[in-house]
Amino acid sequence: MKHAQRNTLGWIAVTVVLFLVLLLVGMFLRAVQANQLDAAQGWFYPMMTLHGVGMAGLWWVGAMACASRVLARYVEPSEKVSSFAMLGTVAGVVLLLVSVFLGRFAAGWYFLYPLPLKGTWPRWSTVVFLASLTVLAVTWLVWVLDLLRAIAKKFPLTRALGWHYITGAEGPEVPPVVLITTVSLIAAIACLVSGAATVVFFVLELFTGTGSDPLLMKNLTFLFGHLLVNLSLYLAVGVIYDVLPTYTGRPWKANRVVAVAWNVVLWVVLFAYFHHLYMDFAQPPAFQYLGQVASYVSSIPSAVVTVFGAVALVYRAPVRWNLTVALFFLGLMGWGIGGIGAVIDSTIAVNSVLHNTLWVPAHFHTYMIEGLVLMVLGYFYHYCQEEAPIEEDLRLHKIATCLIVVGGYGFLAMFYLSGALGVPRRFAIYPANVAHGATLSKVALGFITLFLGGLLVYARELGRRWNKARQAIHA
Amino acid sequence: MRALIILAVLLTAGTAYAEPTAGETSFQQKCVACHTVGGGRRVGPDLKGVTERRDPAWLERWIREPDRMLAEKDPVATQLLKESNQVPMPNLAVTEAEAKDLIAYMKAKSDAAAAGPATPAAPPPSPHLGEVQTVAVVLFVLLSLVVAGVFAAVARSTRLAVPTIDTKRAYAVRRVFFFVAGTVMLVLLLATLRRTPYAAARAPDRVVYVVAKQFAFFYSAEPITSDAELARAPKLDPLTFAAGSVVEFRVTSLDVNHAFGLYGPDGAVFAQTQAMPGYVNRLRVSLPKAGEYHVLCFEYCGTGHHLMQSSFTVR
Amino acid sequence: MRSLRWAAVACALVACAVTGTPPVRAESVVTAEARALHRAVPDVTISVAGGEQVKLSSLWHDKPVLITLFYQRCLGSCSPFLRSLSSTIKTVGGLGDDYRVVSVSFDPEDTPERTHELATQLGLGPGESWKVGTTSPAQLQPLMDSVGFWYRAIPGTDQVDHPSLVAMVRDGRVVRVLLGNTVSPTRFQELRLEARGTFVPFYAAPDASTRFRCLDVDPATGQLRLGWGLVVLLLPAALALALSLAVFRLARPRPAPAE
Repeated sequence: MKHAQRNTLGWIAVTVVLFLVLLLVGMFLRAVQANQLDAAQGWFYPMMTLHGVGMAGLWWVGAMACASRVLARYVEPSEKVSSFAMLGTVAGVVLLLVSVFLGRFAAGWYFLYPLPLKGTWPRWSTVVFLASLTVLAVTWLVWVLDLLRAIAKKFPLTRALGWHYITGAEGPEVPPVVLITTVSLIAAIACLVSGAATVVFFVLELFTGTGSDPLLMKNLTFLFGHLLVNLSLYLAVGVIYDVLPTYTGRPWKANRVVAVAWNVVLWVVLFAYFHHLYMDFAQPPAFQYLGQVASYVSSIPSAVVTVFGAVALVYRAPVRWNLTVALFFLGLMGWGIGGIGAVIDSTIAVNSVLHNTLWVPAHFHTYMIEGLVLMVLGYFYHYCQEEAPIEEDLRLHKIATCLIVVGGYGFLAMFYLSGALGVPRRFAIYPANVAHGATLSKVALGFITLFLGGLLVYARELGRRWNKARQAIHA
Repeated sequence: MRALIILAVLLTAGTAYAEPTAGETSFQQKCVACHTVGGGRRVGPDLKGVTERRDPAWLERWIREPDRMLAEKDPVATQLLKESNQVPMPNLAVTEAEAKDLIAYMKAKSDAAAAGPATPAAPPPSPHLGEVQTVAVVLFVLLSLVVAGVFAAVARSTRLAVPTIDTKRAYAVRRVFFFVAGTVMLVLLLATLRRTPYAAARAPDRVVYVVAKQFAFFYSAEPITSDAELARAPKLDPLTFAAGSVVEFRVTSLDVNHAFGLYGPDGAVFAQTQAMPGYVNRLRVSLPKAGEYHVLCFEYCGTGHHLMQSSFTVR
Repeated sequence: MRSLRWAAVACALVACAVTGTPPVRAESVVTAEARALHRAVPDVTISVAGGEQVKLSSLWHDKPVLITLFYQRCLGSCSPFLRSLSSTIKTVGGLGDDYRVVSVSFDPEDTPERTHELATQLGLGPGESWKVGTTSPAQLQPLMDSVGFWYRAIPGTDQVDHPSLVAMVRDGRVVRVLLGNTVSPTRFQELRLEARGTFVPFYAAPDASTRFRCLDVDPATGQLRLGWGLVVLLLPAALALALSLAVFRLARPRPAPAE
């Protein structure tokens, strides 16, 4: 039991500290774009790579840590594997830092083929970066398989996927978190395998000179990248299904609709990534249309089933709005709003003018800082408060939440507006015809400072409980 | 008008047959990806007047072995590295004779550029929302407000708490929500799926081959599939079109993924396509309005990504 | 007859060597083919055996026209080229449905009857979709210029030096040119797709040497077919399924031992 607590407290510390660091890196990027840090321009692209890989990986492990802790209420994930996952993740992060800080590796978080081989950074930094990805992919694959094994010990596959709800057959009651996590973990295998396949093709070219089809590499890269971020969200949503009912006093059970929705998601999520390739006219048109249909369809189960379910759960419920409930609730709202931005951009006709403008980071930052991040932080607080209860000052919680909402959405609004005004993403310095990007960056910096303020209040509240919980273990 | 365009094309193609000097050929092969002479800064500085700015011996050595000079921390070299955003000048195995040809070419081109009339830079257009962008923003803001409104109302409702709600009614509301959301989605799908950039509206009046290479775009009337062809092919510089023409851009890349992002004279993005090595994407656009069109790279392509800018004129 | 033809070819080669080959610099076929793209083609009248007068616009008003130029007395590439075109058209298909062909003689001495004889001899046809004939000298030059065709007398012989090309014309504009003494089915297939109006939004760059492509173009039919790359793309999903099944099978809940 102590091992489990130590692991979870470890994940909480790693996640929150890295989040603060990577958030500062993100602010550095906006500062350069606002022409405030001309001297450090040369570091823009390496830092952009760090911010991207770091945040995508961080929230994936954050969501995995939450999911595995919640799962432990029903099944027995191995605590040793969880410790191993933490070691592997830290090792991967160290390699990433070496590659970015010493090697100035700057191929961006999705390292699109063949850029890592044709950059201005030394070849060894590419090798270290690929090694970092390999370590992370292997570690996470082991972790995923262990969680699946734990579920499999208790539920056969058809039960874990809730098929008996769909067919109406007799069967055990399956907690929604088990169903959602099973779906996410199966898709996560596809995600990590495609990431590994990408790395294999890179290594092949590095050491044998065998070239790859850039179109194939693009497909693999986005299958990996899109799934990683998407599944992190699903894992966190599974956690909410399990934890939110304890605050509203109403049950949230699996039923036919929930089972159908998440089984549909398992398939649709594999095809949605096609929307990253709309502007590749070489991709067969059938894939493009499939991409738009899948992107649209994938929003139905999440909006109609999950978000609606959560809203119904809270509606007129006797809720005490502490940090956890507020962050969960806002996280679901952010998921919905980001989803709207995403569906709009996944329309091929719209994508023609919005693809790779700041609209794209706008919508996925909405998913992240006003969605996934809030869900995970909400769970972290819930966990610490359960382990080491301290009387809550709800006024302080309200201040933190307000800062996070106002700062976050203000920051995001600048992204959306910039995107609509044609400011491209990933530009260190804005050319004359999109010079307004710099002004909007400056405004965004102001807002994100508010967000940071809210986050620090949260961190203080969390830190007190975290400390107490840690002392309790050692006592 | 058409005859005029054809004439212009023929004339540009014709100039290709004037044999370039050795220096020009080398410059096109080895330097043009990062430098211009009198055309503004790319990754590296504009080389107009460089033969007067720098000591001849220094210049020749810098052309031949920039890597060693950077390693030796030559002060000028270090400064240049900083100015080019840490993109170092590569050693391109330039021979001594070739370096002399290059210097001669740069001097001749600088003199010619100095003699020619300077074209005043057009003021950049003010920020502008295009049609599609306006629809996207309005739709996004409205729908987001609806979502936020629902969440706010639900959060407020907890002040009047009841232990349970009527699940039957909740399911009925969910059914309505499902049908409304599904219908809206279906209508949007049917309305938008046909508006894709893949099928062309009408045959183009002109085909322009676009080659992207770290960190510049090149335009030609001929296809370019290799560095050798890039060096040889006549470039369309400056690139101009007649207002009202339909143009097919055949876009490819010679190194990494780039993208060809087009801004209209009003300053809004109106079309784009990826530039992928090994594939040629064919983007057909009509250019109804006269003015200055800007082109930016829309796919991250390395540390000089933001330097990859270009433009053309429609008159 | 055969030896005579070879002698003529040899003469032509020698003549070329003596006079010096005229094109200024060696350029790739792709480059040369692109030169005539989107030029306007004059609406010339073709005289066909039997007194028929055909205006090009009457042909291209509903479907594209492939234009080739030849002369009846040619001892070099004309006959082999037309034969190759004819056999490729038979392989690929689409004559009369997707496009028509017009073969025009550029020799002022040719008559519609003489060109008809050659067409019969080579088996070109059928006549309603493949017009073979002559045009007036005044109309000939603009036609040749528009598709990028030229010829030059070889001194001491009655032969001329000239390229072999097929130019596809839609609505009076050149949309594609194929150069070369033989017409390959692969390249002709692309031409046919263009003729049908199929907008192919990409083409693989000529010398891209990549393996595991997701999709390839079948040279025989021009249809896209699945490549090994697609299998690679399916691999993640397949492995996910296989691994999940394996995990759930190995770790499946065992019935509790009898109490």
